[in-house]
Amino acid sequence: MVVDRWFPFFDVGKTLEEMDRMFGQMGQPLSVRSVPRGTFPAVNVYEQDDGIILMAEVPGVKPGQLDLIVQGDSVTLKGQRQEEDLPNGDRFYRRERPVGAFTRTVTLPEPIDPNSVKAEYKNGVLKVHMEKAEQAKAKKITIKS
Amino acid sequence: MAAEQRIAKTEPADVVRREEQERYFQPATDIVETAEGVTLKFDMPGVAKENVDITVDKDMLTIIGRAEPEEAGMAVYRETHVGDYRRQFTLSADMDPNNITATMDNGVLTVAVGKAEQAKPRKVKIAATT
Repeated sequence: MVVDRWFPFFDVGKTLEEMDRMFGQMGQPLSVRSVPRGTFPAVNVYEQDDGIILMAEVPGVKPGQLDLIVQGDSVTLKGQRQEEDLPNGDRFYRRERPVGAFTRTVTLPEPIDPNSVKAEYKNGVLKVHMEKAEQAKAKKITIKS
Repeated sequence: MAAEQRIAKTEPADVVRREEQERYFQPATDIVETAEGVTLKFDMPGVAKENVDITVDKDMLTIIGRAEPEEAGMAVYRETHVGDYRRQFTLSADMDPNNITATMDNGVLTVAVGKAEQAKPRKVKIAATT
């Protein structure tokens, strides 16, 4: 019997994260909204008619600690969430909130106009509005009779 | 249409169907014990200060945060779902349910629960004998 077969689940951790993501989308009534470990901040990208909106959940990070770099069709978000120093004698019972430096790069579905990028930070959510590049915009052509 | 109405009638009124239930998400939480009590920190991005509900019913501490509605448009890449947050904790008898303070800062809710008087450390004085 041939034992030496390719086993698809070579990276169990990655597979579990992938499953977390899949089952998270099925939406049990009570699930941790923050997504698999390692993906901080969580990013959603929405496509609209003429624009693209990137939403990143960065609670507790001040806008001044965030760096946003737009290049071609990719957006990079860099920042740091400060680890707080506990006074002597204080101790953690539970620790779920991620801390430390992060870098996330997302490729956008369409090229964008770099001059149109507007970023807005509110209640721990960063929203980046971008307009699609002129050649990527849908054009309506009127038909002459 | 008529069939739907008939079903609605035969069903007992107190049955909550799963799809009718409000969907909540658990916020990521840090719990720290301090000298004065316990501090809880919740990651609740998208929740404004006015939309946080903190209730204490007997020994049950309930935190609810209502998030702002999701962005319009089609999600082409998704790592998280936007929705309201809820998490519950049971307070032990050592905690004082009347001594709870909360602050909201950039999507992070901090709730401090004080220790009950009888749970605080006490110093015992030794009476001097003459």
